[in-house]
Order: sequence, then C-alpha cells, then structure tokens
Amino acid sequence: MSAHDPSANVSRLLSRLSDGELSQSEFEEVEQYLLENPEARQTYFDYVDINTGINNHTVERLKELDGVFTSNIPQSKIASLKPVAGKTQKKSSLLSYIAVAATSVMLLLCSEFFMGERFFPSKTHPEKVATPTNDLPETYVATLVRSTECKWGNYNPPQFSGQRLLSKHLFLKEGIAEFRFDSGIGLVLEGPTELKIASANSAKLLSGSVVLHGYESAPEFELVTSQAKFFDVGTEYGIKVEENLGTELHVFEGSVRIQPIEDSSNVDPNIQIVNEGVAQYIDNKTNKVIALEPDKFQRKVPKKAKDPKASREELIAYDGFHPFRKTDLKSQSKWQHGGTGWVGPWRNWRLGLQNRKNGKTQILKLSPATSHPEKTLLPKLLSSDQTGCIEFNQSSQSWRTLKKPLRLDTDAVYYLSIFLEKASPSSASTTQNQYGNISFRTLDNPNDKKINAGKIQFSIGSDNYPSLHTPIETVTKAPPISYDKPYLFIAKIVASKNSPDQVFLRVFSHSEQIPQEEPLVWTCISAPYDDSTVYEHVRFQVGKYCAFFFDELRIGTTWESVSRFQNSKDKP
Amino acid sequence: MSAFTSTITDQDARRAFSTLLNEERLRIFGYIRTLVPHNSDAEDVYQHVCLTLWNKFSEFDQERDFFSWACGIAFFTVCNFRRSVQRDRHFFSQELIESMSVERMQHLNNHNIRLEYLRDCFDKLKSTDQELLISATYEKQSIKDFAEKAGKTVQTLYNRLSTLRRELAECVMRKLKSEEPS
Repeated sequence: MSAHDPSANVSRLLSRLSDGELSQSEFEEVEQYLLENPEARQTYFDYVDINTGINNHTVERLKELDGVFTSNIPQSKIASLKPVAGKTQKKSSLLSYIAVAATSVMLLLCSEFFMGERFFPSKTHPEKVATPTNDLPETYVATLVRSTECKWGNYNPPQFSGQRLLSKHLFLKEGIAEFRFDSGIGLVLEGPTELKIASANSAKLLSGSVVLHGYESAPEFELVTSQAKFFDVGTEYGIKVEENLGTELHVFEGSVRIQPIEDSSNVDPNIQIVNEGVAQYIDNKTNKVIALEPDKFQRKVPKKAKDPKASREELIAYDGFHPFRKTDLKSQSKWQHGGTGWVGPWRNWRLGLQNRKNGKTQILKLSPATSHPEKTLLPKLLSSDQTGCIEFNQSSQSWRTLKKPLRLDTDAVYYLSIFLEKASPSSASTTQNQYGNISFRTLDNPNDKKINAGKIQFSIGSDNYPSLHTPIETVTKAPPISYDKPYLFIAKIVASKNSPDQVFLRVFSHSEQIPQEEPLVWTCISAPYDDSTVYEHVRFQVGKYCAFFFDELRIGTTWESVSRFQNSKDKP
Repeated sequence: MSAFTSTITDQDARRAFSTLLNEERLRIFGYIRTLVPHNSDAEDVYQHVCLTLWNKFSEFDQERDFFSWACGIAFFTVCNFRRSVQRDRHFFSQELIESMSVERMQHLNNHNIRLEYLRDCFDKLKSTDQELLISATYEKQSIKDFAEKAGKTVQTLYNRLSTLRRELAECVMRKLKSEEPS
C-alpha cells in the first residue's frame, strides 16, 4: 500500500467509498477526483486492499462463492446448484439468474418436445446414421484381430483389423477371421460359418467351423450348438456343425466340459469332460469318440508377407525429433521441421498457422521445446540411429497439423505411439501442475463448453497416473509411472461411422517387451461414445512445474505401423 | 450406451483450475472490488467471472499468466454488469473503469508482499482499532453496533477509520521502501 498524500477530505471520502457509504454527490465528487488524480487512485487501491486483507474471512467467503466451480460438480449441473450461503444472507443475483435461466430452458425444451416431437436441437456435428437393423450390440464385446479373404453376408460386417465387433450376428461366407473377446477368449471362424454372439462370454454356432482359444483368467466361455453347450477349461478346441447333422468336438489343448441341451441329443445327462487329444461326435442319436483331426480346422488366420509399400502407407505421420538435416534451407534447419506426414512445423500455439501473407501461411512462432540431438528414450534393443528427442517444461506446448487427419466420422482404426519420460521434479514444494500429455485436437468447435471438447488426450497427471481423455470422460488408472524412466504409450482409436467410437491406451514400462501383435490387456479403455470429429492437429502440453521428454511419435492405421521401431525404412 | 463407466470426470482440468484460482483468488477479487464500488455487487461479479473462467478454461493458454487472463475476463464482466445495474446504485463511469483497470493490475503485481506487510502493520494497532477496521469490512450495521457499544457517533468512527487506513497504507509504504519485513 503506497502511502500517497491526498487531502484529508479526499482520504475520508476514499475511505468511505471503500465502505460503500457515500451519498450521490459525494460519490460524484470522489469519482471526479479519481479520474483526475492518479495518486488518489493508488490510495483507493490501497484502501480496497486493506479492507480485503485484514478480513480473515475474505478468502473463505470467496471460496464459498467460487466453490461451485472448483468442487467436483460437472459443468452441466452447475445451473441446478442452490445459491451458496453467505454472511450477508444476500441472494446471489447470478445464481438467481442461473436458476431462472435453467427453468426457462426447461420450459422451452418441454414445449419443443410437445410441439415438435423432438427434445434437442440438431447438433453441430453430423448425426450418426441409424443402421437398418436392430442387430447392433448393446456394448462392444470383441475385436476383429485379423482376417483373410473374407466375404460377409450380414449387416455391419467387420472390415479391418482392430475394428470392434459391430454385429451380434456373424455370417462369414468365405475366408478366415479371428476375433478376440474383451475377456481374452479368441475365436477363429472359417467360412461358411454362421455365429450369433449372445454376450461377452457366450455364442451360438448355427453352422460351420470355429476354433476357440481359451484365456486362463477369462470366465468360462459357453459355445452353444443345437446338441450341447461347450465350456472351455483353459482350452483350445475346434467345433464343427453341419446343418441337419451333429457336432464334432476336437480338443487340442486342455479340456472341454459338455452340458447337454435337454431332450435334444444323446449326450450323457451327466456333465461330461472331454480331455486334450480326444474328439467327440454328438447328434440326436449318437455320442461317440472319433479320431482327432487338428488339420480339419483353421486354428489361426494365416499370416501373409506384407508388401513394404503397404506397410509404409499404414504410417500416417512420424517424427523422431531428429535435428533436420537440410541445413541449406535455413527455414527448415530446425528440428521443428522434421518428420513426415505433417503440414508445417511444430508451432508454439494453435494459432501459429493463422497468419497468412500473400496467400501463404506464415508460422508465427516455432515450438519452444528444447532439442536433445544425442539423447533417446528408445530401449537398447531398438535401432541405434534414432537419437534425438525433445524436452518440454514450464507450461509449454506445441501444435502440429496432420496431412491426413483422424476422421471419427468414418469406419477406421488409428494408432498412436510415443515414448515419454517425466523428469524428477526439481523441488518438492508443489505437487500441482506436473502433468504432461499428447492429444489429437480440433479447432472446429471452440465454443463447446465441455472441458474435454475437441480432443482425445493421453496423459500423465501430476499424481503420475496415466489417463486417457475423451470428450465425455477421463479414465485414470494405477499404478503411477516412475520419474526418469522412459515409457511407451500406444493408443488405439476405433472410429465408426454408424456406431459408437472407442479409445484404448496401453502403457509399456521400459522393461516390457513390445508385442508384435496388438495386446489383449490395455491400461485404460474408454466407454464407447459418439464422436464425428475430424482431428487435424497433434498437441504436446506440459504443466508449469515439471519437465517431460518425448521421442518417436508415430501415428498409423495398424499396431505394427506404430510399434515396429527397428526398421527406419518403414517411415513413410 | 445407456451408462458409461466414467472414472474421473475432467479431474485434471478441475484440479488445474482450482490450483490457479487458489493462487489468484484474492488478487482477482481485489481487481474486481476496485472497479465495483459495492461489495455485494463485487461478489456477484466475482462469481460470474469464476463461471466464465471455468467455462473458458479449455481455451486458456497455460503459457499465459492466469491472473492477467482472469483480469481480461473480469474487465468485460464488470463493463457488462455496469450496463445492467440499477440506476439507484453507484457505479464508476466507463472512462474511470478503463483508467483504473490497467493501473490496478500493475498495483496488484506485488500484492502478496504488501499483504504480508499489511498484516504486520495491522498487528501493531490497538485492539479497539483492529476491531473497528474488521467491523467495517462487514456490514453497515456492524459500525452502528460498534458505535453504540463504544458510545461514539458513527461519523466519529468513520473518521477514525479513514485515519487508520491512511496510517496502515503509510506503514506498508515504509516497509516496502525498506524491503525488510519485521
């Protein structure tokens, strides 16, 4: 409080102004004095600070007022909150306004509903088109792992590896397809086969041939035919059903428990166990042991050698954060210009591309991250020619635009991989603002009030727990990561034109082997949700009191494209 | 999808927002209170500003200073509030609000140290003066009650308040110049 020297009268007026005790003429007098006299303004500021500073209850009072927004209440519920109780017993006009506004909105919506037969106005994003079938699953239960030469005869057929199962009723006319249920159970179908999924743990085989691969920690999977129910006991077995004929069971590993369907077969009414190396034939008249014929079944989808060009096309964007080599081009000599699959360099802020001059886009400010040309987060087992990583700290962020955006308004699957390492905090004075994240972003709907709107984000929080964020939720999982250790984040985004989308995140520690195939176990899994956003940008962001290193960013359409690090020729 | 299994809704953002608001709560209110002559109006504006800050938090560039960002939003909220306020209430002219806005932000730069000095200075006052100052920060009725108990007129107390505030401001100024908190 700087002590200035207004006259005693002005000082008295300013003092009473801070008490709110002035008549109209006195108020006009002091207002004029404040307008003309900078020193009087400084004194007035001092008096205001004295009033708020000596009142021990000021902070508590302000917390009451802003607690509505800092407590754990969804933004959507704010309008329904009751006014906070204040010392002055004054009703907050703001909250009164909110209450009236909320009531008005409800009345409007009700009238809309009764008069127009629709409750909500149309959304900004295109609506997902309803599928002409009621065959969609209530929730996703399985994923197409791989397939070859498949022709499907049902609505919503699976189209590509990684896609979630869109239909309960599968009719594979030709080819071989392998699904994996979320419980861990694998199912290989060989066409022609017709199968109905009943739940995450049961299915009915109407006809055809399937091989079931059990999973030790999964609940028993019930496979039903017209003759019996088959339960796996840590098993790999094949079942073949032919129309108007019986069921063949061939147990390759483990055991299968058979439970008869009442009055439909000759199965022993007692529970029967069929062990490894045994095959059984069951129909309405017969229940007999037959010769085991493993070759009668397709136990895996045969792998094909991948065309190198196709592999390269699976990688949408890549950046190893190496220093850019073309030093003859001054404008492209920094690491921000490296990598492939991008429009423009890494920039400081999302608006970095907005300055257009003579029809050309001008980058206002490059990313502030620090380049470490000799450091790498890659484990030893991977290629040694991929040195170079970047470091972010002190509330920094970087944006870059993708040449091929992620489209959630179509059927597609995308993968992202990134190595990251959180540095030990330099000071233990605060545990806040120590987060780091990478996200897919769009700028299309900046007015959307949801905090997660327009982004899919993968992060390490201030508490060191990994989490994924979709526009509808945040999923955080233990255990926390360790400081100064590199981790590999691999995320999968399953986009669907007519069905809900879903996001997965797997965090690999530095000691884990990266599987060649997509893993069964994910660290975080989002709930399915509808998203038709086109994500054009990638953003790194780091909190105020921490430092993060990032390395080897890959965005692709297959697991392989983002998890194979050995061969740098795979880069697009 | 009738029900989804949300584990922590917007937790990171809310935590970040709460942290920043905890740090800047007093300064933001100090800024608003300067531009809004009545305390109850200032509280309304403060709550409205917090709502806007929270709604726009996803747009907040964390490279920027949160207080400056909040003051920008508060300024426009004050201006809008001024237009909507009833005529029987005192409110500063738009010209004065604009003049004070910039200066007040600068004035609040060293708010924390000045607050520390203020508490030192306040602690050195007589207990009756301390009680009078604290009463004045509540409602009008508190001063009247205080006057009745002390057997003095309200006007006398307001004069005393003016003197005390001036002395406190001078005390803080002296400490700022010496830069040595006692």
